[in-house]
Amino acid sequence: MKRYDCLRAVAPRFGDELVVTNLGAVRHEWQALRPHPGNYHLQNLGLTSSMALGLALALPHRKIVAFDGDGSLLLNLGSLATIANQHPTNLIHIVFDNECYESSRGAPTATAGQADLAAVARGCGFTHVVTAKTLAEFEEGFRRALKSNDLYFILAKVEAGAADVPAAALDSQENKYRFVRYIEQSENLKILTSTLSRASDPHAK
Amino acid sequence: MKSEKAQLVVNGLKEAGIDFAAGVPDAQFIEVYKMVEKDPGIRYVGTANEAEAAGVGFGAWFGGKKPALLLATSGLLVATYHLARINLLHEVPMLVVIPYRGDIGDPRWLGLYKKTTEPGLNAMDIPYRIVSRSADIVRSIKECNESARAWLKPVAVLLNEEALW
Repeated sequence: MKRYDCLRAVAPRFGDELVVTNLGAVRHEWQALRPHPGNYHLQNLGLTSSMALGLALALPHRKIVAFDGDGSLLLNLGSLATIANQHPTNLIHIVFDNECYESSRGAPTATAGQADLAAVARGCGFTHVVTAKTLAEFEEGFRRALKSNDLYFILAKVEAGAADVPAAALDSQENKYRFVRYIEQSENLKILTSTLSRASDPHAK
Repeated sequence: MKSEKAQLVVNGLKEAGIDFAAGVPDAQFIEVYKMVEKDPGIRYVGTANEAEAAGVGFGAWFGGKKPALLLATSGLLVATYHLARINLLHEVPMLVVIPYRGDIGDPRWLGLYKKTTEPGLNAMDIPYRIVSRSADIVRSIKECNESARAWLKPVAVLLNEEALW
């Protein structure tokens, strides 16, 4: 099973869900399949799960999907304990486990050895944990998670390798503004603060 | 930190409009954590480490919250990789409140943090204000948060001397 096939299988199910992707090839693959302002391509290894948690807690009525990786989650394993304790019922945490640091030329991660991230999630207190080894299992797990009003952890055991897709032509700044403006508009929120200019502030010195 | 001073920190957070906080408890700030956790107007997320706290606060900002990180000086070192990238790559506002352990006047020898805290903030290009008198706590927290939001970057408040002890 390849990561891109998993993403391609579930992309048609997406509506207004907010998505946080791990750095590396997954961001390009997802952007090619779902070019949408509700995608945030996080470029901090390890932080996908935590950013998704913050979003999920801030917008509890909105579905948040995290596309994480084994190397990233291993860098921030404690986040599983935090997420399980906070228990955001609108979060789907998906980990594509290719058992290697793909962006670092494929050096093995701990999941190539003894580590089982699904078991760690269960041990941290996740109640809905799915390990998918086939595309059918992944699609079924995702379908259930999307329909559910509860926290899900899905471990997708995938082969290493990236799809041949165009690079997502978004830097962190453009991605930030598009994402935050989309949330402002779709949630009727004002997030970016406009500061007073001299012209608009009658008290300016 | 005495509870009256801890209350001033919480008052500062409230006046600044902070409605979301994340961090890992520090001994000198324990009263602040307890008060923030009980405050119905602030969602507090206790994390396993401070780097994780930076990520949770980062995500909460995108969801419309006004986040603060409550970090120890040791925890600032743990959070450095993510804070630096949040500041320099993503440019997202975040108030960072730090009891300045290790500064002159700390009865325990934590001098390591005297050597790392301010140089670390400077290296990450995170502006900060040192607050030494409790009378300045509320105003400084409010002003630092206003600057964070205006500049779209983390801004830190360091409490030392009479403001902390």
